[in-house]
Amino acid sequence: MVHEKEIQHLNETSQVKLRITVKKEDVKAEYEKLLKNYAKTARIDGFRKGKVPPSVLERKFGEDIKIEAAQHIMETALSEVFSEIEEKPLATDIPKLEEGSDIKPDFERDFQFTVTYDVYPKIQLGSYRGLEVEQPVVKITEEDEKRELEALVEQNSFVVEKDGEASQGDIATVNYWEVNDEGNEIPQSRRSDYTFTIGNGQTLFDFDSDVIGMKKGETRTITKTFPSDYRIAELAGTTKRISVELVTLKEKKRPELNDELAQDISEKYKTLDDLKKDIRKRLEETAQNRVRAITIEGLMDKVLAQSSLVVPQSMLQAELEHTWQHFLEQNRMDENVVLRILQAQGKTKEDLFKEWKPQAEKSLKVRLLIEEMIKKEQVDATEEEIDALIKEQAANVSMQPEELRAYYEKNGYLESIKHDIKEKKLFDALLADTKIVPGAEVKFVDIFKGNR
Amino acid sequence: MNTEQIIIEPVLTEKTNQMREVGKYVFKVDKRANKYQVMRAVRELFSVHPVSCNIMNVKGKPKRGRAQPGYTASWKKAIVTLQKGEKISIFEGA
Repeated sequence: MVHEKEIQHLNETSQVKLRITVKKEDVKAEYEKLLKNYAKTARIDGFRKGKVPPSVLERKFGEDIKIEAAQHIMETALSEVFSEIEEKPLATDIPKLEEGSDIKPDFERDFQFTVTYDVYPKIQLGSYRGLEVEQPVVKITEEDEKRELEALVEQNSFVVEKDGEASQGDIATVNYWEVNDEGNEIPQSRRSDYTFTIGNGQTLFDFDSDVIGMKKGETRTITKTFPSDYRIAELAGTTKRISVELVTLKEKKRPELNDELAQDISEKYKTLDDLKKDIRKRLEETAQNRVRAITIEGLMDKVLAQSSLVVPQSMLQAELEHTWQHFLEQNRMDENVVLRILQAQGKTKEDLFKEWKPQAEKSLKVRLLIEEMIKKEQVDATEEEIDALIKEQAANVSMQPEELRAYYEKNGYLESIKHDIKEKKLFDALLADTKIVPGAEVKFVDIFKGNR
Repeated sequence: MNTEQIIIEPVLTEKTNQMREVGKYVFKVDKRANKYQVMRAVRELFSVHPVSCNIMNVKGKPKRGRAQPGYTASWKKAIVTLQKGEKISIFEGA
């Protein structure tokens, strides 16, 4: 059907301009085919169904049918051309008709139309081997180890009933009510079974410190005068008499740091030292992974600076939409809720996208470059490597490797796994070839700063 | 009555489509018009030469259903025969 085609690359936007010419005979044939089709089913007053002569239809709807025929022709012609040429439009983009173009066919002339669409960008890859990259040096210190241990202890602490006097940090359950000057209860001021941790300052009347020293079952009446700048405006500057009854008292027992705790945490630890060693190992692994990620980031920054490519608009838009969806998921909020919050801040979704744009563009560029490098280096993932990775992941989620593999296959994740392996192999090779310069010494907690 | 008021619209059906092929054109015309007025109107409006004109009154059909029963409007139908070979071009394919 396509009589002539003319392809023009617009490099600065990574687009292609495609001009297609279709012979007038083809247009006419298409038009008549459509007309006949409509005549078969058309319903017009005065005619039985399907008995409307095409000439009547043509007179009544001719112009519309012409436009429809043009659309049909464009569709078929485009798919015909796309199956032939190499530069196919991106999945994220729909070919757009050139503005102001005349799509009403005229049987006297050949039909011609022009579309533009985004294509996979042309990438000029800079040199990426033998670069120099600074790598932060991370040392795991006693301090880091202690912090991890502390977190473990906190996780393993348990709550027990406490006899005796309440003290800071205990968990108390109280009933309280306001009393008037004669010492009688003010109706409806009673609250029962209010549980709080003494000292965290979350009680309505701030009676934390007054509870300290009370015993279980004891009732105390206290008089409180609130300063004029008290956090609850209603109470500021007033004086209240409050009765507090301590119903139950519990304390948080922190386990002692010893071999027993280590065994409690996991059977694989025999002694506290085992646990400490393992923590250290884990910290080191985490740090190493993160340092590798930072180094790769640095490397890619350098490669990016030397390469040139243009990210197609539609790709960028799709990426931004993706980030938006991710953002919604992360905040577990409905899209409308987020939009309303943004509105309250005087922002729109578009403003947000504008903010994200540089970041999104960069990450897209990096991804495209990685893709290009994988292609250039001919990195491939073997079956064994895939199996190994799946086995590892299966162990982490305690599934059978076969099960996990079937799941991946069913959901089409296998490709992305392959890609992960390729990427890893690529960077293994690249980093081995990169001159790594030790950079500034960084604390363990600091390397996760600015982490996205 | 003005010429423009006489002819209201052409009648478009399968049957009139066929009749056109033998030079007979069917119109809905003003109820007050007679054969001569219709022929004159066709001659003046479409620059053709009518030979004869047949006229009939189409009675409104009774309609019953959701609303109150009643009739559709009655109208006058005129079949104008043209000289052999003549055509009214604006109705071609109409």
